Amino acid sequence: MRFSLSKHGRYYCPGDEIPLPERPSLADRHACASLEQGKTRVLVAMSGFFLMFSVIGYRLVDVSLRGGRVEPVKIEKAETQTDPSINRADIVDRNGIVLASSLPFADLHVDASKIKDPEAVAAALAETLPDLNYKVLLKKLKSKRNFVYIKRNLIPREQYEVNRLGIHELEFESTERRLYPQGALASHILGATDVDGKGIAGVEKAFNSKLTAQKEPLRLSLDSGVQSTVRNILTEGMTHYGATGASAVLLNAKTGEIVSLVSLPDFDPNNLNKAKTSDMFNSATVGVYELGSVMKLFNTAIALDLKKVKITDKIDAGKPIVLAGFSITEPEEKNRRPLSIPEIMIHSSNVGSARLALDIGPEKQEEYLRRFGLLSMPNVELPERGRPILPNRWSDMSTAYIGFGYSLSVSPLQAAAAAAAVVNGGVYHAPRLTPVAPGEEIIGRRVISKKTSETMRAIMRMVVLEGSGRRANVPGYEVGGKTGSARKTVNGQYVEGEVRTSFLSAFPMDNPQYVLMVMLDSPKKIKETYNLNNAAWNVVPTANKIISAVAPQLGIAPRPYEYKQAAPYVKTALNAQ
Amino acid sequence: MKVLRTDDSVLGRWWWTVDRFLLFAVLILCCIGAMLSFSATPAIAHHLKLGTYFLVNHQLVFLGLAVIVMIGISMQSPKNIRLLSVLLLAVTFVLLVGVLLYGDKIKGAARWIRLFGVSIQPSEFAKPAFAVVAAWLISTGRDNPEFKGMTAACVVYGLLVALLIKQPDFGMTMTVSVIFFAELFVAGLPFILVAVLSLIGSIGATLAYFTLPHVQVRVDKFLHPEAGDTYQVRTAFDAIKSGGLFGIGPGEGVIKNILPDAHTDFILAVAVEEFGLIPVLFLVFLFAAIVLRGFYLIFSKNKNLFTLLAVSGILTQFGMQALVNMASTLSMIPTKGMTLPFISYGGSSLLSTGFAMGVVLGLTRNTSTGRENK
Repeated sequence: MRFSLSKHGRYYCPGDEIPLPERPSLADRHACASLEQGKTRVLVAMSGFFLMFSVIGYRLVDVSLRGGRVEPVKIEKAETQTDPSINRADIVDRNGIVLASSLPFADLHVDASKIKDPEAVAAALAETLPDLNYKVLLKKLKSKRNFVYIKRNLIPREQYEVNRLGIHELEFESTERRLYPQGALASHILGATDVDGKGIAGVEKAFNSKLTAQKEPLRLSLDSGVQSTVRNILTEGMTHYGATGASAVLLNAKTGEIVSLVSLPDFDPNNLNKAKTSDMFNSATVGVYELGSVMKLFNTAIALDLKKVKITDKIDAGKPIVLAGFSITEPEEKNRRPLSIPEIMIHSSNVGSARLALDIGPEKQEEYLRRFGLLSMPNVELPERGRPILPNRWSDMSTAYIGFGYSLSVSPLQAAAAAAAVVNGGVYHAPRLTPVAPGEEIIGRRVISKKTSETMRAIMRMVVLEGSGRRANVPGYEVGGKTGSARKTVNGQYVEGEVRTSFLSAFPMDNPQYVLMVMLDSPKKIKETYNLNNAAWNVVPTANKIISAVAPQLGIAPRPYEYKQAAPYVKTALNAQ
Repeated sequence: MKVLRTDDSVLGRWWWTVDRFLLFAVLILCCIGAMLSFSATPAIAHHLKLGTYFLVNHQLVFLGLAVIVMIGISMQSPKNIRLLSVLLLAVTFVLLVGVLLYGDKIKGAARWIRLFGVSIQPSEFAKPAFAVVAAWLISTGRDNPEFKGMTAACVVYGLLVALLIKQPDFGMTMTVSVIFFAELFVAGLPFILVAVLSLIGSIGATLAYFTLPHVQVRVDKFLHPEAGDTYQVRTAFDAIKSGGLFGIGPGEGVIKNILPDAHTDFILAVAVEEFGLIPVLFLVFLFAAIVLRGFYLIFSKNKNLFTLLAVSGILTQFGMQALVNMASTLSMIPTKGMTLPFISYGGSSLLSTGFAMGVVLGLTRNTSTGRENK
């Protein structure tokens, strides 16, 4: 292939050598000049490349050894910005153990009209998220709807796996979900949140604005270890005695702090839609009951505080009391005799208590009970609070009946708070779920005198030493208390044989630290209890187990007294008056 | 094999005239490329659901072909080199038109065409062929005032750029423009025109920034790394840092599993991570040595304008591609997908670079006259 580029045929390309003319022509001299200029320019290019490669080398060393010029701080900031911010603070117990926490989740949704190959997408999703059904998925993906939820609340791991499928039509929406790592443990206290994360019950509702406003966790007075013990033993007791429900309240006797509060049956707040309405009923704070003989505690305390009687006075329980056509008779033959004040409590005398109540009179009784916090809703940080049921007319008969535990319905939490005032030196503190801050001054309300409180402690200890509370005499912990076996009412009628048993106790009685209220709903008459179903046979042993387990947990040192005898402080108090 | 100085065979003459420094520098580069393909491509092959060594084999075959092409071309006379380049450019033009009509779309641009079962990127071959043809046209125009060489070169350049922009392939357009600019510069373009062309280049770049969204994104990411997703560069930096002086060991790197373009645009980061700073500094030195040695040869020995232009154009393209690739990885310029010659994965790129270095070796062969050897 040879083609001419010049009309004169002097120069041919491609390939042919330029013939060097004999004498340099103008064109050759021109060519020579441009060659020289070209070489100068090559030198410029060489310098440029040398410089640029040197810069690259320097930069490589710089990045490799010193990290270069990328802004790592700003990148970190960008990474934290991409994390979905958690809007709701944690709830922790008094020791900082997490009871409720919000975690980031993602909702997976899709514009079904954009899916080109629904079978493939459904198959991939069903493989990645095994709890999804292929047929249901396919139906959703073929629906052509613009917005279909595939699955809600994906954990980050699942979200990552779905992202890995590389199906860009699948979209995520960041959400947060409330989780309760302890499950049902403190369900009645914590309550629950709705799908939008708003508190709808319990602490979640009571502290809703605080939880959404603050970042630091909300600390409760609850001790989850103690709570766990109480809940386990109570569940065991409820099953063992065939009770239909149970509740327990453990209060700090000196501050009113709720250390444990259990109401059975309860629910798992992580799985709210499985909970029955009855499970969500808080029998410790919402339920109000006639407590029966437990109320004799307050009755006796009022009578002693008003100095209507001395501790050595004998009250005749032999003759029935007749009021407006109704008569109150002592149920047990052996107690139909004059009884001292401790004996009224030890033998749980109805007639004796009624006589004391009548001595107190309706006005003073109402005034004292109000100061004990038994006549109004307790001032506790829970939305679920029961209003006590008072007698329609505070007649003499109501007064007498209230003396031994009928005609007035209160919640177990109220009873526990009132008992704390009886044993702690006479000062009432409203029950509380927020712990007492260091240095916080707790102002209570004086109900009875210190002296009355001391006497009441001795009497309560005697009930456990010699009366119906004997099965709760835990060695070393100086338990004192009062039992109650109240007849159950259904639709205003007393049901024969059905009782609600309770044991209101405190320990250790020489210097009470904690008050424990335990209640069993309808315990059965079983063989082990000689076909009896009163408090002494079911709720008292249950309280025994609870105190035996939690007293060491709460750090109470065992007392040095012989546990089967009245300790010196008891004798002193009983002989003082 | 012992080659005697008196050996007058084709091979013998070639051996004694070719610049052996340049030849061995390029061959060492090829060896490094082969070694790195074992590091960088199995992860990608796995991702593409190919056999572990599918891409390695592919790369090694093309590396071998590239060396054969290079040595073959370097044995040719300048006349044959010009002829082959004209042919190659003509074929390239046909294929570029074919790409526009039948090409496979990859990442939004039609750059590839299937020929005899092999995917080819014709624009890769346009680079060396255009460098030689433009050099020939310009130098002929200089030697022979009656031939409008400069005009012809501009027409060829215009046609090529038109086809490349139609794809669109702005990286290749830029490369071809740089080649042409380098040749015009060496051919003695007045400095006023150099300034004007630089200005046009800047205007073009600015225009690209404002009219092409993906260019804007990349430049913005480079200028404001804190605002956008600088994932690739950050990952590359982490890899370079973790490599240290001696690397974490061949095959031990992790960046290749993360970065989608680890086997092409970010291969330098793979190399530093596995082999360390010192071997990679040697690699940078090799590139610089090839470019500077090439320029030195045409500066000191050559007395021919065509060689001066063609070799300048090719070396500029070769050097610029290496610089852009490394500078992208090191976050000195906005990321621009350019292959590292002989190192990055890619058959078309390898063959084209082989052809280009063959031209450099062939044209810089040391002949006694300094004239074109027959």
